[in-house]
Amino acid sequence: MIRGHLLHGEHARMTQTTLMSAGRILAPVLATALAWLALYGINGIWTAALAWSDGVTWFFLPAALRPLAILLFGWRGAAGLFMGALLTMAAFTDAPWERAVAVAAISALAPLMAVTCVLRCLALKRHLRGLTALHLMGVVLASSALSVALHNLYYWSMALHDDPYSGLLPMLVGDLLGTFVVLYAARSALRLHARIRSGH
Amino acid sequence: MPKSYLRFLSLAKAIQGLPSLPLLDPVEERLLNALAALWAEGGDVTVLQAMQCAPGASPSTVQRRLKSLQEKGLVTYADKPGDQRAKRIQPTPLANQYFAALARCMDEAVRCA
Repeated sequence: MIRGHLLHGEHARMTQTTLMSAGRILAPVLATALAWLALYGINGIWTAALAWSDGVTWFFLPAALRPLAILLFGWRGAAGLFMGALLTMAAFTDAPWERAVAVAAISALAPLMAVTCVLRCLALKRHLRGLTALHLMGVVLASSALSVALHNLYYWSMALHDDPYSGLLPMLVGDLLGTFVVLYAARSALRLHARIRSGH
Repeated sequence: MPKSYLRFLSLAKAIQGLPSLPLLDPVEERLLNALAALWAEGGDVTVLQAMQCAPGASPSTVQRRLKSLQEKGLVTYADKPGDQRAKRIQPTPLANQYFAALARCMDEAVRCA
């Protein structure tokens, strides 16, 4: 009977550990996907006015999430980006499912590759100690450049664009503008928070 | 400490270090530095004194720059005790933060040298 209790306790502990591990994986994925959906929704207010072509816009707020989610959550951030991009492609466009999957995969994998490469080049470890504003700008630039290049190559290979380079500039401008708007909004929020806490 | 939180702290620090547009133009910066020197001496600083401490700038320029510094939240005016017509110019907490940040930069530069 005592053995039964012990086994029951062990089972409960294992279940709790499994649930906590699942939560640690799922929470960043869902948070990233929800943030993507929210920023995509906000961006939708002016998308029609600023669209260059299907899938390319002069101002794209969700682009900020690509480097930020990867820096914060690593591959779980990439999974969240994939999920968010897939959901928005399915909900807001009439793209076929294989294109939605491909674009979502580029959205997730390009920043993952770029951030990993830049962190390795800068000899920064995964805990990001020593990351400066200049490093962050390098990460943003690399992530946007790779994402834009891969997206345009894909659109060209699917005959959605006439050539692989004419969409580069509007998409890069859109990604960088969106990213810096979000970064500076975050900076203002952090400074306001610090000021409120210090009582000034 | 969870790694995600460490990453968040590092990322927040990097975001806070992003460059911003200059807070002050050169004339405002010179005037604020001159005012800081007067404040450091401990006395009340009146508008007239401010006009005298900014060589090369006309009184109307100093007036405009003082207004601009007030709008930017760096100086504030207070009545001078015993003289209702005169106004004292005082630093705000933001101005004190500005000078503290400059002092930190200088300390860091000295440490790195």
